[in-house]
Amino acid sequence: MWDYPTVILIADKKRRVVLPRPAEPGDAYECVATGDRLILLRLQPVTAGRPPVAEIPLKPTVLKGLDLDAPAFTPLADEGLG
Amino acid sequence: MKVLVDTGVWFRRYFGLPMKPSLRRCLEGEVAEFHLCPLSVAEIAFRWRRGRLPGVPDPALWVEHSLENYVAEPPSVAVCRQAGLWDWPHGDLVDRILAAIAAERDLVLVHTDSVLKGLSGFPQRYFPNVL
Repeated sequence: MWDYPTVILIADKKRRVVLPRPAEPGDAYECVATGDRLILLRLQPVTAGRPPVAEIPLKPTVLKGLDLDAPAFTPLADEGLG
Repeated sequence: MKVLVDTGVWFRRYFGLPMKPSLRRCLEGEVAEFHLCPLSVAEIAFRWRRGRLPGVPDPALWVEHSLENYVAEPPSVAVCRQAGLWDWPHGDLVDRILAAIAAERDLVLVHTDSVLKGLSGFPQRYFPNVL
């Protein structure tokens, strides 16, 4: 509280306000509205627990003539449901 | 956002293959949990075994690594029942199972399949492919 004293934020015509430090450009906040109170909760960047990627990427030519969205296995019979 | 990644998206992301910037932004910025159905592994292994993935290493060398930090979503009996009951002409069983998993477990199916895009009954986000 001593490091970051209370400040008054005034919204402009488009309801925008400028956040004081320690807010940084690009920060994401969850805004919780309860009556007259707006509470901003800073969201942590999603970095932990992400799946890895290959150390050596493949050349895009691998995809030439390949449709990964096409069925890998023979599709089920396409007869009607009767 | 918790997502079920479809086979192509998992494969493209892991190997750094081209994808729409919007898809890349979604995966790297919006996804909190990555889920994958083991049938996606079967699809890739099946294609590779039949020589349809030239230039791709033996799945035995990379699949385990690629699955780190994915939550495995094997199909349950309820999922398989729903997969069979979808009232769709689309007969790709893996697609039907992925959609049923997404619906049952409240996961957003992230995919590039223009056929799936036109179907309903499950949470999904479609991104066009670039190649």
